[in-house]
Amino acid sequence: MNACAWLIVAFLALCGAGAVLAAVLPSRRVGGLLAWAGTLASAVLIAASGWALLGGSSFTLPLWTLPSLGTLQLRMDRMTALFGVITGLVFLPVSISCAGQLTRALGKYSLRPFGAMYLALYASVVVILTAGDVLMFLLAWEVMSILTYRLVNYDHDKPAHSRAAYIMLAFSEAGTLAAMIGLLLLAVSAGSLDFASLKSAATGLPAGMKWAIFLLTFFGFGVKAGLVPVNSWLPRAYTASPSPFLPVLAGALLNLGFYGIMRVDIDLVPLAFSSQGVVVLAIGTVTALLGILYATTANDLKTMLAHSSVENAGIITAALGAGFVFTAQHMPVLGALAFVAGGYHMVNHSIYKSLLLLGAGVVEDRTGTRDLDKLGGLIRTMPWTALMFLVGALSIAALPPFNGFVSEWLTLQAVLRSVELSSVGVKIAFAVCGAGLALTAALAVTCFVKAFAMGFLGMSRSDQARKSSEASTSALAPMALLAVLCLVFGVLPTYVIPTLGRAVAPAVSSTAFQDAIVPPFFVGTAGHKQLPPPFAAEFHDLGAQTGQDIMPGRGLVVMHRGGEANPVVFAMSTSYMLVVLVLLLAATYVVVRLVVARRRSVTRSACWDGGVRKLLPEMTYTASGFSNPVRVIFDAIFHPTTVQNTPKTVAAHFRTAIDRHRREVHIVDRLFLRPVWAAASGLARLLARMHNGRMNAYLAYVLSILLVMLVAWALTAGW
Amino acid sequence: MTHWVSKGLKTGIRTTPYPARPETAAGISPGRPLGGEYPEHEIGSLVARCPVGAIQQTGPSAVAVDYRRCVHCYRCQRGLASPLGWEDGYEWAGDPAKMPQDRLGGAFKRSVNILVVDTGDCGACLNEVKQLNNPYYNMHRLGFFITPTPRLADVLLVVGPLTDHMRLALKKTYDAMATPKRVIAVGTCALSGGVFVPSFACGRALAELLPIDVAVPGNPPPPLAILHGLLVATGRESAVSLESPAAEVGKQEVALK
Amino acid sequence: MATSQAAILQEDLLRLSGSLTGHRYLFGLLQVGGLMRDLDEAECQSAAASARRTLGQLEELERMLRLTSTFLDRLEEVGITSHDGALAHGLVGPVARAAGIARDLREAQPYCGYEKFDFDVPTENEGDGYARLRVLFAEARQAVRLMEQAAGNVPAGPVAATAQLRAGAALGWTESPRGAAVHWLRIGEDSKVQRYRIMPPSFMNWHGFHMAAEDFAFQDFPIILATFDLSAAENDR
Repeated sequence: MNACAWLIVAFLALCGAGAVLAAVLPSRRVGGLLAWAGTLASAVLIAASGWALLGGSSFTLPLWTLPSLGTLQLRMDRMTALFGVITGLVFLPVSISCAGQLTRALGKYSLRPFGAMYLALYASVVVILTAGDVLMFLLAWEVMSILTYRLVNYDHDKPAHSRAAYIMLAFSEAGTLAAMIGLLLLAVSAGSLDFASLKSAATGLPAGMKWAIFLLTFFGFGVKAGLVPVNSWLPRAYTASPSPFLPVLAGALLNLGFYGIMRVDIDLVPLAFSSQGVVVLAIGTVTALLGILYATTANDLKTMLAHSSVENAGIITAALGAGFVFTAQHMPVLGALAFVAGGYHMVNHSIYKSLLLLGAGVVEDRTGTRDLDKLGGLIRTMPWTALMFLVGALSIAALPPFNGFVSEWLTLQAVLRSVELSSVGVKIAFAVCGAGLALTAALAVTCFVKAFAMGFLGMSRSDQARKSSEASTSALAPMALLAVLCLVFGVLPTYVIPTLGRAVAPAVSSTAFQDAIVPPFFVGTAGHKQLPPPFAAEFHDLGAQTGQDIMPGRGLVVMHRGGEANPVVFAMSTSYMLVVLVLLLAATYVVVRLVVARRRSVTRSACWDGGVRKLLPEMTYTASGFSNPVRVIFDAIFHPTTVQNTPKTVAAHFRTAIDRHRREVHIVDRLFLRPVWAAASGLARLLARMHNGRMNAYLAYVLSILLVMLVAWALTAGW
Repeated sequence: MTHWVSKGLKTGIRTTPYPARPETAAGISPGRPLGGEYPEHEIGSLVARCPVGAIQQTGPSAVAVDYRRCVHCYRCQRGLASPLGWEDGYEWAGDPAKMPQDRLGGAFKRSVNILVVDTGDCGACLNEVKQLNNPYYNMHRLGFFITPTPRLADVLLVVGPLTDHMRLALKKTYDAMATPKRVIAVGTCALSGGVFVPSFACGRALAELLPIDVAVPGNPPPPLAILHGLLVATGRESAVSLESPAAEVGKQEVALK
Repeated sequence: MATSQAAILQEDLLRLSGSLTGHRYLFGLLQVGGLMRDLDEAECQSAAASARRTLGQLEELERMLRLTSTFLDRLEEVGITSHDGALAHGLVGPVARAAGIARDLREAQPYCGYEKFDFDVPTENEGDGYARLRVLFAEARQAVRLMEQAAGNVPAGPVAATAQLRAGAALGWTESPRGAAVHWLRIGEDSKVQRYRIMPPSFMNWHGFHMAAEDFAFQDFPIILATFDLSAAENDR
């Protein structure tokens, strides 16, 4: 048992001890306990996973052997390590913020169950990630589902919350069922339950079985990942969840769906058909588009961030889909590129979504409202929170030098590489999905400009916003940590990409892609297949080798060059971008202050407001107004069921007010959930006719079934 | 679409030759009274007849007209046995602050952004300002452009008596303009309040609030007079006196009472 | 393009007013009891002839605008005031006449000798911006018709009567270009004005403006406002 295994065991022990402590400590101490226990446990987890990810150490730890079910075991490989690092990075700041936020958000309930369940959930997540066989996986998955339901429903006084949590539980169970059937199908073919034997059995499966396993597990785990058409639960559950828990839901638990998808489709039963990859790509694009549309038109901060999570999940899925297609078409380099893009986006999403949700939690805590139409001007009352939220918004809008830019860029470049594919149909699919992803990126900018501007800038639209105050240090410190991570992951992609590459290497069964995406510092003399000497010399002249003597690692440029038949190049370097950005800003400052300002005088006067006597908040742009063009253009998707404008009049002519009522049903509910529900209800109603309460009818049923069985037995046994 | 082009070509060029050559068409200016000699026994009734007190007796048989007050009511012309002299011109812009000719600087000589602010006028002055860019006057050819924002304006053109409601807005507008900036007061109401003073709703003159660089009297000053005022502001034309007969060189113009 | 042509016509009419009366905006023409200066028949006829020429150009402009679809797109079915809404809000002037309320004070309650003249009250029924434009063009034609009838029938005699100010109250009304303007006046024992009350046409039309602006795009708002031709100063009464 190596050190990595010991660390995981230590982690589990810590969580267990913490959960027990939480059950006995007084309620007001639970927040502090969570902060300490969560931080310690996360540190241990990050250490273990980091060791495995960077160092390559792995382990298999058998726990108990059950008769006829095999051995329950824990296993760590690079893919698990990646998810472990992400989970640790999310739980660490969220646990710290629990110290202050928990009592304020959920003070009216006893916090002891919360503390115990939180740490138990943490443990179950890590067990899911390190599970080495199907039984362990499913047990931990179920525990995780139930604990999530309890935690989301913690603020159960409001019936809407309970309803949302129940819908989440129902979807979660349906998804678990589908995934379980898929995994068991595979287990039946393998004859055993542990992942190693499943993997070896998967090579001999017929195509139909592969499709069945793929579809069942994709949509089963897709419930957790928030993919269309099974994501109706996500916005509801996110809005109902208590604010301290929400970053865990979005940053760590969403990724479990992707873990399931990646484990099955990359590790156990690698996808062999490009059509499967196209299905994944298409679903990802549609998810992303629908997610961002609903996010742009949402006025509630939490709902907007929920739909935005759906959008990001869609982008990750699209990247994975592109990877599957490239791998099926035997292009390992491009496949690795796409998988790295998907993994990078997952890391980034966890970081910036947690940051944004912590910020939203602080805003709700200090102002008491989440409605963007009632906020505004918060940058004056809570400047640090505003700065953190801005970093998160810039990251999620994919603007350099933050991390969202890198993963979005890599995803779009991977999809653009479809020029190198051979099949025309697949190329068309890629083109359409690429356009959809570009539209999503544009709408994401709109959405977060609206969120930041309406929430933090301008005038305060309500007294609650005007009277807010800055958050406490225990709330600001985790946000600052996440903001720094956003910048680091954005400026140093050349260190992250090789690490991610090693995590996805088993998927493409090739290691040749390392040089192909992050070439070493352009020393120029060696050259190799991807970078012949004249090419490298050009980049050398552009300064691509700056820093080679002081920086460890490969290089500072992310670049791909197609083969000799198609030598198209794409390249970027956010490290250089940041340096140039800082230099330009500094130069502008110097020029203005020292050169220009000497010759001119500067007068300060108030902002030009059109000469009005007093600017009122009613005169400013509202969030609904800002997103109205999107609502109008995509009206066919939103398709409101009721739009009523009832004027209130005096003497039947002089209008004093207008009452506007608008009811919308989410398109996924309209097109998928409601028809399915209607069909199921219809079927149930039909079957209910059997229960007519008459004894004679029931006896007739028994008799007829007996007859049918006798006839069937006779037919099969006789001949 | 082509019928518009042919219509435009048929209409030809209507633009006035001013400032290169004087404009001679009919109806371009209301004209204004001339001060000077006047029969002694009728001076009293003449001075009393002017509703705004623009005519003052300067000597036993001489009167002076203060153009900052004249509202073109024609009562010194019509219904009198001896009407006052009349001049039919349009170059009326005066220079109350006695600034040097090249006041805005060379860069603005042929390109000026003007912000028009209406502080409560009757509509006549504003309409004359609107006529400034019709094909007859076409101020664009002289380099004058209207801008809606004070941040980009070089010249503030104010019409109307300074109503109390617009005081704050006007002050804010002036403060929001970047230097160098100049103020042109157009119309008698801006210079002295016109027919509206004394009143509970407006001040006496724009000079109470802002420093005036060019004053264009008239009620309303015809577009050519406003053009003359803009040309004076950019140093391309010389200012004329705001009184008749013109005040002697070196002597300060009679202050408004 | 059309704006410049219309601006030319506006300047032509201002110059006509200036050369006929001395002032472009007809200041200094009226006094209590009548006019301050006399006009002879030749002047009146030449003014009417000039107006007829300008009208010819205006009608050509109208013909060309009717054929310009980009122009009509902004006006047709935009900014609609219904007949009932116009009645309820008491709209006046061309705005009301475009909504089917055929009321013109010169015809309904003639003053200043309008009963002797022969003219129509142009009315449209759609109530949209194009209807208002058609009403305005038609009124220009009626105005020139009135000018020609008046120019040919100027009676001889003084142009002003000596006014005797008596104590009491009086009501006067005119049909101004924007609509019905009503003035009420009370003069006290000392022959000074005690109370003065004005009901300007824009004051009435402002209250009905929201009816026309609702349900239309943000970009249509300035066009609808322009077709209503409202004066803010008329609210300051």
